[in-house]
Amino acid sequence: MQTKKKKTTSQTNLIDLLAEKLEPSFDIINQKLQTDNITVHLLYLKTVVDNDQIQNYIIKPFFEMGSIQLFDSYIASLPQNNKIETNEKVLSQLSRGSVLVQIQEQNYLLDLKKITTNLVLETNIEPSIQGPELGLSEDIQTNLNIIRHRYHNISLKIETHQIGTSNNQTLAILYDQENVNDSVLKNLQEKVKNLKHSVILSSSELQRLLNDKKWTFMPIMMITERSDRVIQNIAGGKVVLILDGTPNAIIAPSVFFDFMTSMDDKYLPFGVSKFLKVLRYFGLFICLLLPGVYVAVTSYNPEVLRSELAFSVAGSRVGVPFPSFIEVLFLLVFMELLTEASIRLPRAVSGTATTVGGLILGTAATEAALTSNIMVIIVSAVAIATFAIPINEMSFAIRIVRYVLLFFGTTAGITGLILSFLAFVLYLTNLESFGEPYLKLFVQRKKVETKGVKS
Amino acid sequence: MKRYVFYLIIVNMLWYSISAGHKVLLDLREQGSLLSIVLSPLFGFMFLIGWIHFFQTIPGKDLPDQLLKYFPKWLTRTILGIISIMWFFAGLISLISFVFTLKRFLTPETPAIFITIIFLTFITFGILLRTKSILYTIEIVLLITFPFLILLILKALTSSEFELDFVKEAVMHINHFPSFSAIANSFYVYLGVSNLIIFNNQFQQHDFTFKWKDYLIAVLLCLGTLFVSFFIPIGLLGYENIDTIPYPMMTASDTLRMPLGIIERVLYIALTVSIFTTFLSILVHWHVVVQIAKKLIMTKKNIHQPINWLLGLIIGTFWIISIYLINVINEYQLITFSKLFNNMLPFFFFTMILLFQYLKRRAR
Repeated sequence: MQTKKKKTTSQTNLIDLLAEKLEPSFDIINQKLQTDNITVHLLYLKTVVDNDQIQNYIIKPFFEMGSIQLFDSYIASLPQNNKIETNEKVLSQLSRGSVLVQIQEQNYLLDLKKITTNLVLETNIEPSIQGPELGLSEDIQTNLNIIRHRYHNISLKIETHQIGTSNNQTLAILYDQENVNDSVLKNLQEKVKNLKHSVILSSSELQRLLNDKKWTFMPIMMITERSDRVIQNIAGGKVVLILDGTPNAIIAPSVFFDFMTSMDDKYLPFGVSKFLKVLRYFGLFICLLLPGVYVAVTSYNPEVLRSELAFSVAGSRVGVPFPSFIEVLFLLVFMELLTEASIRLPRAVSGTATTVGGLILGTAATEAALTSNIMVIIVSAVAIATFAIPINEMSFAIRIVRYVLLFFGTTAGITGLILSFLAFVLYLTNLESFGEPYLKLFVQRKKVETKGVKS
Repeated sequence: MKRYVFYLIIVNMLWYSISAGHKVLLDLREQGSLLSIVLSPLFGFMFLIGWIHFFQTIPGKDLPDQLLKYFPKWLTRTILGIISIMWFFAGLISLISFVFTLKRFLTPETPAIFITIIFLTFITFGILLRTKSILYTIEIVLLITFPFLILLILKALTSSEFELDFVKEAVMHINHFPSFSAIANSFYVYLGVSNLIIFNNQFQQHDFTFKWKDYLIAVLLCLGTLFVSFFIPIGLLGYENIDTIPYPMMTASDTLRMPLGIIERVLYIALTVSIFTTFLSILVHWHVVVQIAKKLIMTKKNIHQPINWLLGLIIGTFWIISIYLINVINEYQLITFSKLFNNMLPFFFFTMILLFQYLKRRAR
């Protein structure tokens, strides 16, 4: 709170100066409140401020209070009162919904913004069975409010930065001072300060800009809409970025295993959550390897399978005019298109699209002998397995890697498949997320593990 | 991070059980193989202690660092040159013999040169990565292959084809005095820890203290491998003509069936596991070569380029030699060559232990 008197001449006619700068916006209000002997000037943008609040906090008291001294100290003691620093800051505050009040020679900046996006949204990308139903909202104040309300610890620090040289969006960096990884924090602060982009609209865009390498497809920062995930990660010493205007938070650093955890793992009984974890990793392997294995086995080594199975695979491929890899590619690509379509289409139509695609295309394709029955089973198994990966970005990445493995399975059979899988593991272990190894097994306690290895 | 040292031992151990080493032991079964296996822990202990003790005194450093510190440049270069040639050939033998194995068992129609190129592509990718990431990869891959290994061993030991009589017959030949080759080949299994010459720079003091228990576990693991790779082929394939089989472990695994499994022939599980292990083995060996090369190049004052043309040249040589050799060499020559190579190893490694003792004294 700032109640110092500003006496320089440039400050006294601050309102006129700023009003001049704000012209010719239609929504600028330069208002004068007047009773017999006192005059008060107001300056604000009517599209961003809350008119009710102006009415309640400024106008009504003004006419009720007799003396200017009383009104002055009333305004000064309002909790919405903000510090006045430079003219630029004031302008920027005005554009965010502040009201400049000039009482005699003294200026006050009151934060009376109107927020229409503070509705807390239901989680629909990462739903959980027993966790909280509501995620984050699109307004940063609300989000910070949610997080503060669920993390009652004074060591939780919130820093704000302005990013985007044109739209000056607010970005909050949240961390628990006591157990945050300092090098990650510093690295992120640097990167945020060095962002030179004019407009940054969404957290996924921000995440891409914070990533140094252009050609990556494994996510090294996690985007989440779940507030419980945010809380858990802050408590675990990670840094969380929240951008105003998006209902998602960015968590950094994030490693491979983070992307394979669902929040339900915490809420379900121990045995159940372990079972689900095993299931998820099984799904990961299925989704990565099964298409490649099918091609490698049917085209190179049918004798790998037990003979009955080998015969039934060969039998179901009778009449299929393509080699097995075209068959796989054909169905996989259609499956990807189907997934893409069901994301883009309006919800009312997407059900129809998936039914048409999944059921009719699959049946018709096998009946027309374009693919074998077993292939359809495999592709749908792969599709289902992809959805078992809890975080979307990871499942996108795995979907792409699958084609690389398929390629090597096609060119070099089982050897190629296994070697490319190994290369994928090597690639993952070589990746780093802000200095943390991306894929590393933690067998001992974390302290022992991280102490030993030189970085 | 003691476990990473064990992983280095285990990778070598697993590779040993499909390499020419155990084949030679089986060939020499009437010239003292079994006795040399039984006696091998002696050498093994000596080797492990000599080697690990030295590297524990220089936590976080590798051999090239240490050599550069105490020796003149030309001597360092010669020593490192010899070491990298040895390591290169160790990787090369793994590569070529495994390409032959694959050609024989998995893809007989694929040209050997194509399999080699596929291997080389991925190995080139792997060896240029950070040392740490190779250790992490080894851990993950061993975790993935572990259940299959257990399955293989259980399957072999419990199958009705496993004839205890053959094993008993082999045990009766323990009275032969071991030939040098038998001793050298059983010594090979203990050599995994030798990769510490580079990998040691990842271990700090507090996480790499080998105690007696750890030495004992390491030696027992290696001894177990020797026994398994000696007795399982004999038990499954018979004692008499085992030397006529070029890949005893693979053929032995092909005698096993899983009548109720998706994969009926156990051979394919064995092959999968061995692709994993061989890749890791080559990766570790050649990574050592690349790191040594990097250290040598670095002394020439171009540190700022992580991958420069000299390194490219070295990897190019890897490719050319491997592709050339895979065309000219045949399986018999390969076995002869690896026998020769393995016979050389004891001398080489004990010379190195002497070198380490010298370095230790210099360090004081």
